[in-house]
Amino acid sequence: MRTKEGVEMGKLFSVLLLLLIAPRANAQGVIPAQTDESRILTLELAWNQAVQEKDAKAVEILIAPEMVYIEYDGTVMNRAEYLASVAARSVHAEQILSEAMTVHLYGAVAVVNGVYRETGAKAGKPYLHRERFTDTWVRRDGSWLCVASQSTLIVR
Amino acid sequence: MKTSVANVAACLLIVLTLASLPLRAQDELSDSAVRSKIFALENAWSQAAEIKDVKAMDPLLDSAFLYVDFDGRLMTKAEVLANVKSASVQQVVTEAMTATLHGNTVVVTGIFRMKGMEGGKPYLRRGRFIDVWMYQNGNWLAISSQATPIAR
Repeated sequence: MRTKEGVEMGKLFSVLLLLLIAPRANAQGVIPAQTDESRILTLELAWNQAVQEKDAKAVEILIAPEMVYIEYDGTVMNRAEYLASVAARSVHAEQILSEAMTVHLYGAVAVVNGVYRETGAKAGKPYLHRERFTDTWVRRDGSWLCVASQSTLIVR
Repeated sequence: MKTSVANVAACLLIVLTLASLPLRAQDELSDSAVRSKIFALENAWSQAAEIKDVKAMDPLLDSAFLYVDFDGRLMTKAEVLANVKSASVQQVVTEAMTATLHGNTVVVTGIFRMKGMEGGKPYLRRGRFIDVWMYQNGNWLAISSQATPIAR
């Protein structure tokens, strides 16, 4: 799940994200071309970071207006609801790590599978969540945007 | 002369307006047709799972298809098909499905209810899913699917 709180870092992160998702010039090798796969993985990590810092504006840049999000408890959210949940977390996440991420590219569509490992405290009690997620990204005007994201608790 | 230009412009406007109407209607029909097709495929998929028909399910899934089960297990297409054979599912019903089109890709969200027997005990599972379909070589194939239990 990517709806956790952390330390506010200001607006710098949003600006950096904008630079990250902006279509890259690839002419004459002036700017080294990043593969779609590595770019998407970078966006995934940026998303985690933004959530940990409760930076809804940074998350907003990464997700499409029609994005649908399904939480590990089955709650379904649209983009506005998800962004509101990012900004208003009552859970204190100390660490969110993504592991074992794989990217399957289908032209202008990419499907990312991976595992979140999250430690933190809720109502004063420590917790550890492991969740498997699937994110679907679509390339639009040269930028990758997430159109669907879903998490499921790993119970065994 | 002014009148003539105005008349031509008016005629042109009418022609363009009329020409755009069927196109718009066709576009809407096309999206609607895609949604109907995808929902039909979703139902066929549920039906195949229910009757353990691996041959019917096989052509619905892309070779690189990945599935995340309601307990967080990640499964390949081969594992999903093998699981269908051995599954204890008796009934699969999908409801409240919505489809969002992204060019040649469709994201379907919905709720599933699954009845079955496990270890001699009946179970009823209810969860939310996202399936991603892609149009490839004249066919719609599922490239990804995930299930999440509804806890509340």
